[in-house]
Amino acid sequence: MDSHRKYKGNTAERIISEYEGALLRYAGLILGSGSLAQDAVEAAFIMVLKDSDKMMGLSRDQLLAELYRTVHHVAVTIAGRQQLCSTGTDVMAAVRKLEPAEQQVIILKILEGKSNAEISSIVGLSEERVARLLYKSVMNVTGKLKKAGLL
Amino acid sequence: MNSERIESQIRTEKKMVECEDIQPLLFDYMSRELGEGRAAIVREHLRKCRNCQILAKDMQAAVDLLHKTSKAGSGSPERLSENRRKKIIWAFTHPIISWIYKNIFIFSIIGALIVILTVWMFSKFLIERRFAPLQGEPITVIIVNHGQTNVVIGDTNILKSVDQQ
Ligand SMILES: [Zn+2]
Repeated sequence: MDSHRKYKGNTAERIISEYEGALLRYAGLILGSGSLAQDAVEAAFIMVLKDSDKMMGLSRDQLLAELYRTVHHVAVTIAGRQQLCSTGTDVMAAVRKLEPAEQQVIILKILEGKSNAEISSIVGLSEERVARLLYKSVMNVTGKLKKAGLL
Repeated sequence: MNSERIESQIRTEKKMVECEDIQPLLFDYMSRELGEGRAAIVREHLRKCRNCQILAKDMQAAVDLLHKTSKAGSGSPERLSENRRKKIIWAFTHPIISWIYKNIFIFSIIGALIVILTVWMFSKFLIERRFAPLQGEPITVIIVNHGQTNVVIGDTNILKSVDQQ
């Protein structure tokens, strides 16, 4: 029992170390705050790791996709609760003012450097749909940056 | 017939290179997600169309700015604090306790309800025991009153008081 628990502990430790950087960056970009980003990532890890049987059966890419989806969901919820969308005039505020789905694809694409195919597997939409969403998102963010006089 | 087909082909090609067809492809073109065929069409259109050139330039500037901003850092640390790591690992290795802990509010309410219910049932039991009527077989009493015979069902105290009269 104890050795099994130790094994699970080591697995969790390894997963956290591997993905925490990317997830913190992602949540930080949505939330614009280090401590809120940590809240979001902690909650996301607990939500995903909680279902350990399901989690152990996932491939590396599937696990990353699941973590990205969950941290996005948690971060958007926190942002809504903190009413972050309406505040700030910096560059990231323009991203924060986008629809959650647009935020998700633009962060994964421009800020995380993912390909359309990778984004498609993370967000669970077809590549064509991702491309359309990206176009809409980039157009919107360009408009907002121009309006804010940042471009 | 042949010239008609050529005309319609020209019309299709013309339509293909209209701005509204090109613009949705601009970002994919910029991030090299388009196949060579479609990329060539966009490139050719961009060469001639001032409007789309301006749009592409603006989009590129926005993308560069976002890129630069994200490189400067999102303000979040690179690692979770030790405390948070421990919490996650503990939740992973103790799923049931962690679930109870996470839903502590519901558990508190359920716990409080159980306590209230137990106290209420126990006091009800005590009260019922304290004020319960005495158990016994009803007896039949015959009272002779002015020559009439009445049948009374009651306890022996009444009988005594009637006797004394
Ligand atoms: Zn054009």
